[in-house]
Amino acid sequence: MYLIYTTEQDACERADEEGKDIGYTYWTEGRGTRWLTKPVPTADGKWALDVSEYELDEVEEATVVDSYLIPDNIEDII
Amino acid sequence: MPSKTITVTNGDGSTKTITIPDRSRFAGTRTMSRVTGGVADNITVDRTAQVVTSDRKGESRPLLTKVVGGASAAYSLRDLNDRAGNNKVVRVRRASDNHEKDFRAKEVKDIATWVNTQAVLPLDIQELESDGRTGDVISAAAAYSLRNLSSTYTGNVVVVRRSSDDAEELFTAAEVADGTLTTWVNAVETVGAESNFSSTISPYNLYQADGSTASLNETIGGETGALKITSQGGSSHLRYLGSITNLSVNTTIKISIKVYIPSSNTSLDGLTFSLPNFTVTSGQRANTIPTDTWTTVTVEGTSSDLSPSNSWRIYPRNRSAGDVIYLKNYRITQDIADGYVVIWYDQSGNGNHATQTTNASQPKIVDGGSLVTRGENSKPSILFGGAVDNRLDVVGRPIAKSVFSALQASNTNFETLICDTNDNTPRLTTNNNANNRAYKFEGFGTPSVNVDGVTYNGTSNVSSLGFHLLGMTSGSGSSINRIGANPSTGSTGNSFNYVSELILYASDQSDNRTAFEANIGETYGIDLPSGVDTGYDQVDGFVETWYDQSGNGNDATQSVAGSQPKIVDAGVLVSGGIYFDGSPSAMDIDGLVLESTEYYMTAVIHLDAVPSNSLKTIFDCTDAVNAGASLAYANTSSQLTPFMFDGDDTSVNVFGGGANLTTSKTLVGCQFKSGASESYINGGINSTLSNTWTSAGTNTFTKSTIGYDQSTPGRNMDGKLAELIVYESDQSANRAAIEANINNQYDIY
Repeated sequence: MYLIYTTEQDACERADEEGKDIGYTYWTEGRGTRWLTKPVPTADGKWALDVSEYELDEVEEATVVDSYLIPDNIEDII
Repeated sequence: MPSKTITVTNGDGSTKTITIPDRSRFAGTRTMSRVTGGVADNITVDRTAQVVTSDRKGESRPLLTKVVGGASAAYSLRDLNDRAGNNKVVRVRRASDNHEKDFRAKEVKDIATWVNTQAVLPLDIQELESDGRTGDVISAAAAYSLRNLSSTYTGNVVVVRRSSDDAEELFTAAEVADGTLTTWVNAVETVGAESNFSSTISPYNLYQADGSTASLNETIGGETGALKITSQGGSSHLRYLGSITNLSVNTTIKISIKVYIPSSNTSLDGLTFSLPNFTVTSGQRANTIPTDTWTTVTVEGTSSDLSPSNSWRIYPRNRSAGDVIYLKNYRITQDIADGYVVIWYDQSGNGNHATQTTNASQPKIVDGGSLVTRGENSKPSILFGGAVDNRLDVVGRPIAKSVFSALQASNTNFETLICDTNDNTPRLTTNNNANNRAYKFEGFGTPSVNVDGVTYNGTSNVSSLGFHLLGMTSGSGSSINRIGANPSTGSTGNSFNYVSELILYASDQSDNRTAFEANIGETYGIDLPSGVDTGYDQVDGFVETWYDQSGNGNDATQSVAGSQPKIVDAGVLVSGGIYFDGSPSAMDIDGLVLESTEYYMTAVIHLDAVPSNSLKTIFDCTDAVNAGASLAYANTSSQLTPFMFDGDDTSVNVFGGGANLTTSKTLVGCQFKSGASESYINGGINSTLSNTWTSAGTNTFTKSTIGYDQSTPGRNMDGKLAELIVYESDQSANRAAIEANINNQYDIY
């Protein structure tokens, strides 16, 4: 399940929120694990956040999607 | 060997720095020209690392310091620099509570134990079922601590009265731990004074001594009331402190003073505190002060002997005759306030709060300005003992059939932890039998007792146990109404000296004892032989950082929990290295950008599966077509297929051919070298590559990766990686020595 965000910043803020709730050491000690998942770019210029393991509120649960379009990467030619 | 920089002192006293290059950069036999007496000749130098066969199996000498240094990045769970294994190699996150910890090479064997440590808080522990601790949460009758005892408890843990003004305040566990409580208790200072000086000697006043002149009530820098000292130069210029007779020895003293130094001075630029018998704990004695602005200088410390107090001085630094310094607000204070517990909150949800409204009977939580702490981890504690033993009453009368407590006795007889003041049973005390102060359990039948996780022998001296963990489960128990002593019973009027945590259960908790004890022991640093509760021994541990041992700081990290490779799987240390499971496991090496014409890479892998014609990445920093190299496999068949890009063109230089990889433990490697590249499996040449190039190209990436290809998704490694070393140089000549060292360590072939 994914939440789709218009900007990377918005997606990161949601990832940060979950990371804080979980209590990762980045938020308690200033170093170490920060996120459960982090946003990835989509083919249409947005950002997808895998929230399969997140605690979602009702609004979020109503807006999750099962998939997103993966962008064309500049890949190694091999 | 790594490069070394040394400083040489010349005959004239001057020095020069010489760098002795890393010999690995010049591995092999080289012939160099020299001119001697106008005649040119050649010398031959052999810098090839020697193959060592004398190391014991599994105990190879440190590869980077004893065989070949100069790696760009080096990752392993063994120490590649120190035979004693004192360097940290990995930072691990345990899944149970997301706590993280660094481990040195010699501590890798302890990782699983740490990961399995029982992190579930006592009030969150569930009944043990056939499939683990999946039953109902075990309810306590009363639960007291200065930490939160459940993940959902966020309320206050204590109400404190401070001695200075009898004010009372509530505090959460976080506020106890972060110093808020102590700061509040010390907010009203009871000892100390502030002075703007006078011309006579009096407590806390400076007065002039030899070698300077002084004038009071000067105005400078926008402030009035300053003492101006004009130096006459020389060493006699100083200022004395009058007296400090009401401070206490061995207790933190805070000293501060405001200073103004004009920029018109010739050389005076600061001040130095001269404080005999004073051990500085914060700040410093000598301080350089910015000019033309008021600056507050502070220093903290303790003194073991305040008797020569009038020799405490302040020296202007680097003074010249005519230089001036302005001083004001000279402040010396000492926090000596006490904080007393009025309410110790019950976290069980049953409202069995422990209270004491009589000031004289309240136990301490702040003693002489400092938070009371106990145990190896210096966790907050409550001091019940003293000249007058104190106690807290529990009106709700919780039933105590099982008791768990972190506590410490003193050296008096009959110290009581809990009791019923009505008839003195049940009563959990020490005993004066033969003056050994053994535990005594009145009214608990014949309980099962453990101290520090070991069955109690019934006779050990509780005082000699120091801070310890008591776990008692009884066949019969009844209600109690007090934490501490019942003075009306005469000789039993003493309270247990320190109590940090106390949890009472109305039921027999024999089956759950190790679960409670494991968490309490972990919290307070009490080493338990049982260590791990059977319900919590299948925890996963993940690698957050794999430390680079090359000395270049190229640590591999993964801050996303869902992408971290595993090092402990279901409670067991992964055998064969760090586990990249083929899906999202990946690590980043920020800042490591490969732009070289030569690379040597080697790795110890233990693959779960070897696909055919589906490229997988062990290590990568290839920038699409421009630069960089990758240690990869299965581009062709199931073969080892490293590849690199050079700066001459956009064609890939990729290995193929040779043997297929297997799922056995394997040492793989490759040497990229224009016209003479080779790949290696288990010490032998696996394939060759004759492509040539002259330039490295430019890499636009900002990192390298382990376990995945940052250009091309889906190339994730599936297996264990025990060691990975990357050189940006030709190691053809040293390869035999390097691979022999690795093979001896891992016994691969």
